[in-house]
Amino acid sequence: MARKLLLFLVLVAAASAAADIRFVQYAKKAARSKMPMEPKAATYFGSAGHEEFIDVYSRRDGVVVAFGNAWGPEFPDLVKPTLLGKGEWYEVSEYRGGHEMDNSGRRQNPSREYPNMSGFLAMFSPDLSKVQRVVKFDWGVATIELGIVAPDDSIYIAGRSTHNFRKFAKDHAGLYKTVEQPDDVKTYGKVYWEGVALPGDVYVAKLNADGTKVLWTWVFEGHRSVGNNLWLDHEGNVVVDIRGARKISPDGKKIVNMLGIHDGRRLRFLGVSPTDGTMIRGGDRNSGTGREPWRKPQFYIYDPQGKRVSSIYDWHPHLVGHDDYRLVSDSSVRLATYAPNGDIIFYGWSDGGNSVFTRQPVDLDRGVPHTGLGMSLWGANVLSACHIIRLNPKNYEVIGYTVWSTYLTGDEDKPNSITVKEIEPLPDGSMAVHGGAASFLVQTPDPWYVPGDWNHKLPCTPGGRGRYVTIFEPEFRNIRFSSAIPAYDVTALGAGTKDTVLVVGRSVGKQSDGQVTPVLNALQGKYAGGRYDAHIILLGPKATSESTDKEAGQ
Amino acid sequence: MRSPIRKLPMYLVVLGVLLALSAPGSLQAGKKDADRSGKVITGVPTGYSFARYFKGRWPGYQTARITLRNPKKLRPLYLTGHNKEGKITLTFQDLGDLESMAEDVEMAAFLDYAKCVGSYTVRLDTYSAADCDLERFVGTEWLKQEERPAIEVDIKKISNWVRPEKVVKNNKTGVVESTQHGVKVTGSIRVGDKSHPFTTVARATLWEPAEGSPAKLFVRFRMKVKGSDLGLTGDDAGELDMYFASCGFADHRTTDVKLPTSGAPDKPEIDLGDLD
Repeated sequence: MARKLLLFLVLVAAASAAADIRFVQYAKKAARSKMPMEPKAATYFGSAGHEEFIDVYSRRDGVVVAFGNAWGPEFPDLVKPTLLGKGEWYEVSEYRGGHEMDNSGRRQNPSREYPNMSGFLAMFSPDLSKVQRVVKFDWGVATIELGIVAPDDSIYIAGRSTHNFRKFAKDHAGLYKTVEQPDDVKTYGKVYWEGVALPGDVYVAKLNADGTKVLWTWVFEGHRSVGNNLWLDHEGNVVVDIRGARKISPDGKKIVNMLGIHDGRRLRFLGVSPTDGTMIRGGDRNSGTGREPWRKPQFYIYDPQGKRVSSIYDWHPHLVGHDDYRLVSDSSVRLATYAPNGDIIFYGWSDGGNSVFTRQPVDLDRGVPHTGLGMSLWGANVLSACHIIRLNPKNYEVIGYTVWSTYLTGDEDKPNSITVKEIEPLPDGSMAVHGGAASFLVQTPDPWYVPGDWNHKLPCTPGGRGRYVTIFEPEFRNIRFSSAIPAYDVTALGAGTKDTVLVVGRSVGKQSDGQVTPVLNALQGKYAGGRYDAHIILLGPKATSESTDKEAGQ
Repeated sequence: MRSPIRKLPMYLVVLGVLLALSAPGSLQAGKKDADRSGKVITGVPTGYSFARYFKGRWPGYQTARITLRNPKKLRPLYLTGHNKEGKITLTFQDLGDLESMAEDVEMAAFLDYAKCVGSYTVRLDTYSAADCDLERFVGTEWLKQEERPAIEVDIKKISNWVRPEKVVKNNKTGVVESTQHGVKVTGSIRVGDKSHPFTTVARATLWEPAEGSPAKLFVRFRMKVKGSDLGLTGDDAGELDMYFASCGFADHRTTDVKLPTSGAPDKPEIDLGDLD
């Protein structure tokens, strides 16, 4: 009898739990986070021209350093900028073909090859209430495509540069070094924009903490492209992919070229460990199991000298396609980063639930520990599925894993697509991500994106879609904050001081359904025009009645 | 598809659970079905042969695999391969009064496995290992060789295959899987000129689709093997855990199964392997 009663209770509990579709379950769970976050400030930084922020960091004193670009000739007038270099203005269009509308009648984004485009640094107070300093390259000197603030507050930047930058660096940089242009004229050399010839240089520079002084610079003559990120290794060297990995010493005097490690079409250079200098490349390649084509993930680990030392998820396709496994969902390693303690965190993409990412990287017979959220991919059709995985770098054991998914509502209750563009580990073990979501992103209460009438009847926070920001609790236990951001393209996340998170990007102000980019305690509360304005958001721990009382001294 | 249970009001779900629990013997019902279904093999074909599927290019995928593990090494060694040669024949025995038993079970041929004869060899030569970090794999010596050696497993005798212990029928696809765990397998494992005889207990599964593709026979087992017996040295010379799985195909299957009647042959033969 006791056994029957127990079974009855279990069945009743299961039936109660099953009453909610998955989207509602996770949205309700997210609303119960014990570490909730909320927006503290959100402001535009724009003018009638086009501006963007491309990355953001926080200095030790809490000052927020946002890296960005402006197309000009207008520039935000919140603070008069300190100019670096002396440039010139080219009378050419910022749009490819010379017209804002393309041949199909769509509005184009301004080109990143525009010769007047100019990089800048905006330094905000920790609460974004004040712009303390703006440092900007003069028009036609250099862009800032990559930026990072080192633990000692020095600033590293990289981007495309012109002959004006060469002159400026020779005259003003503490150290000026060059890498000559190789002979391959197809890949290297001058670039042209509407008849304006530019040398096709890219540069890496180290600035002081204020950004006003160039301590050293390396100019890669005619190299044309700069990689997707800057990293600092355990010895303070800065590593960047400029036609292959380049490791530059902190004093700028020494460079080590590891040209075999580079971004390719299917294999990307994904990260450098801050604790031991190891490097990661990842991606995928096409293969076949003998029964079906299979996109096979690739994940390579290199030592600090650039020698490949390990390869994980490197299963032979015939093994994966064997009757015992059938883990044949196309899978790919899309991005990776390192936690402050050296753990590898990466985003694995798959087109279904039967992915090798659900197994240990070096042991196909062992599953991963499903820590945290408990999201699942059962019932999925072909989609973009996201696996966020934390690896021990010593033995490649998965120590944290979650599926991160959107879910269709109604009678379907199926996973829907989502992607991740950046993972930002936070000091307390939390993790911020941004990317793009199909319908029904799980949002926390009071989201920025409120859909029209298509899911307001659900007994939870309605789902979002589009560009989003989500912050997970440590070990993916729950969601601290999650919201889609209307009319916004998130470009980067940064860890602020005092458990805060910074979000930067470019905003077009208002999207077609009328939803607008959030502003809160804003320095500039209105969209100023142009194709887009730079925009920054500060998120912090949600004020509870208890914490409010403490702050008030009660 | 939304589960039908979710469409019901909660009070009906609770009521249903209560009624189910109050039915006498309800918790025993599943066990009874399992006992009965253990004797059922549906649609048993005759004249199995592997040959047709290994002479041509089909199947393109690899049907056998082996895993070697060493507690001292981080990374197990996985190899896949194909059946190389051999033939297995399963013979089913007549249980007597079949017609009266047939009333209990739908389209049943009340046949139990009586004996299994024949032998076959599996060749595993596709390594699932990269070209770096080799010291952390089991079988480092093999991986370092320019031409990595093939492992061949000879299944010389399968005995004690009496009757399936578990029969699972997928009502949606019509696939029937009948499995026995206590099958005894005698054979040897060879790498180059090194050979290690073994006798172990295996799990054998007969997988029969409703129609279309051929039936499959799976043999799977785990055992301990000494690395030194396979020519390995160092950390790999000691005891290794080995997992083996092979799959063979029947030449064709007959869906129209006639129950043996008076005067019918007592021992219809099922030929499960012809790998020539």
